Amino acid sequence: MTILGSRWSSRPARAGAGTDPRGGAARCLLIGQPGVGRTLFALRFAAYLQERGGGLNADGDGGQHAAMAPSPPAQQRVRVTLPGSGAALDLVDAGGLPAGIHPEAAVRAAAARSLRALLAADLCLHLADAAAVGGGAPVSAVDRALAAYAREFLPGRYALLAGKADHPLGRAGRLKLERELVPEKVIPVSAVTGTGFREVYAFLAAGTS
Amino acid sequence: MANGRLAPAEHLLARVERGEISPAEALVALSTAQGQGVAQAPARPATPAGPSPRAAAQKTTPPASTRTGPPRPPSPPSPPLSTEPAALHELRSLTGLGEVKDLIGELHAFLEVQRRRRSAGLKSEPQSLHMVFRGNPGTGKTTVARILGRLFKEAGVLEKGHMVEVERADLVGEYIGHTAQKVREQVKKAMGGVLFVDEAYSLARGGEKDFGKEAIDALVKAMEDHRHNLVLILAGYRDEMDWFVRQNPGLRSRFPIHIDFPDYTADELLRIAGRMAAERDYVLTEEARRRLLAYLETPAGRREWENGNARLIRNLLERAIRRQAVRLVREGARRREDLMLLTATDVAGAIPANPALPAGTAATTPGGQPADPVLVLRDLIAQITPARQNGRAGGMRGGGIGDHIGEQVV
Repeated sequence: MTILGSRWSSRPARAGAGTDPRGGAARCLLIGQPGVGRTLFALRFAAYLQERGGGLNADGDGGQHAAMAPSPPAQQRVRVTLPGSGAALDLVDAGGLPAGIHPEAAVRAAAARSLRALLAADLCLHLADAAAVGGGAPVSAVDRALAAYAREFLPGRYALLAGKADHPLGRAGRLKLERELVPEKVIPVSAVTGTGFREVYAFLAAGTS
Repeated sequence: MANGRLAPAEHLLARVERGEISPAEALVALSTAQGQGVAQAPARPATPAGPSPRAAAQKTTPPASTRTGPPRPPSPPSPPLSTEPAALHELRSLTGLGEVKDLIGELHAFLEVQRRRRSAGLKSEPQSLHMVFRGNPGTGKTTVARILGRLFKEAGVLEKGHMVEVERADLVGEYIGHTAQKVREQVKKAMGGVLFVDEAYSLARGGEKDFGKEAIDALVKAMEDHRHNLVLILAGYRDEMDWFVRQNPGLRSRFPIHIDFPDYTADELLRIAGRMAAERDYVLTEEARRRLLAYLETPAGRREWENGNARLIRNLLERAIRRQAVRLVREGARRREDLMLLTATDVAGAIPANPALPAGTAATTPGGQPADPVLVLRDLIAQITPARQNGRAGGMRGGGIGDHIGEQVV
């Protein structure tokens, strides 16, 4: 059974699955609103994995560009090998999902691609700006919709990352996100301090085992 | 595509692209479509009894009080709702400084318990909070002092919790009576907070006709007069501060808390570099980190490390960012990740080729040619001048601008 031509599986693709067009790598989607820090998190997390003995696909230029593969506009992909298990994982940094209907066609097209990637993802990391929420910003409709969708259709394969955990308002924001989104799993993270990277790795390792 | 027509999901995504619905509305609709079986969602692992996925998906913003559904697996326990002050959280997020954090954690716990004892009508222990911080430059002394001010405010020890940072020039006068006046002015600014005296040992170095000793006496008096609303922290190199305390009997009993700030390890400096870069939305590549580590392991790098620690890293990073900018303009790079990545080339360009030059001084042009000495001197002056205006030598001991020029120009 297929949706949009992509294989929909109730479990993440196993490394080495010969018929998988992704070459056996599980696909983990990093998704969230624009400006929450997905790209910074993806790059820092990929570097974290590499420091701990994981592999990183070089982009053919001596590794200087840290495996950010060419990709459709507003969507970036880095292939990592998880240290320990050696499982291959494509970490896809989806384009931001705007809160409403964006006036620019390119942004709407990128949002549609992100949703398409969500439907095809084996694992989902939903990054939300905990500092903004802690400062009084309302939890957005798109974050609610993402969390609700994941709760029902990605059980055990979704984690809410409460971003900017290093910020003074990060903790209050995380608590509010937990209350309002009721995620199965929430991990406070900070791309600045590396907070939560170990927990994210553990989540991905469990999801690819 | 199923049945020769757009699957419902693709139909919804097309509507997002056309601007007819928002991504959030599409997600809700996708949930509904899959719940109805239209999108042929696969069998999922059995979930505990609860409302149908369709019913749950139709709620876009379920209010907490009416939310039903399968019981959630318990979340990992959160830390207790904030009995931990924000300042302590900030301290714990700093790289390294393990023993400093432990000691300050103990101090905070002690203050908290004494506060509870007073609330319970019990006797509380008086505790002098004046401190001596010992360590090389760039090891976090000023940062920790600033955090302590806020921590003491949150603990109800200090009224405002701000910090005033001074050095010898701010305290020592040039004629009789001038010193006492200068000290009074700084103490007044610091009332309700922390007075941080950097390179405090220099107060005892002046000789017979120097007024440094007067400054020390005036500070001690201020500590006594305002002991309930002022914390004094004396800071400087370890050996010099030990000498300073020995030279002034009575200081040791008045400054019961001595905290050592060791040099950061190489691993800690790399983490600091990564963190400083991330704060600016930059990322060091693995090769860049290795290049930085290789520099720290050279004799010149170790000297700079001892004299600068985190400050060295900041200077190198800022220089690497400028080198990256030159490289990107030359390469015409525009991708988002290109703008964020600091490469080994950028870091190499930030490291001085001439060990006599302070870190961050360009010794070569981006093309690798020897730099114009006039430009090197201008770069050097630009780095030193802000430090000179603050009365500091940019991490180098005793260095005035004249000393630097004497060393550098050939």
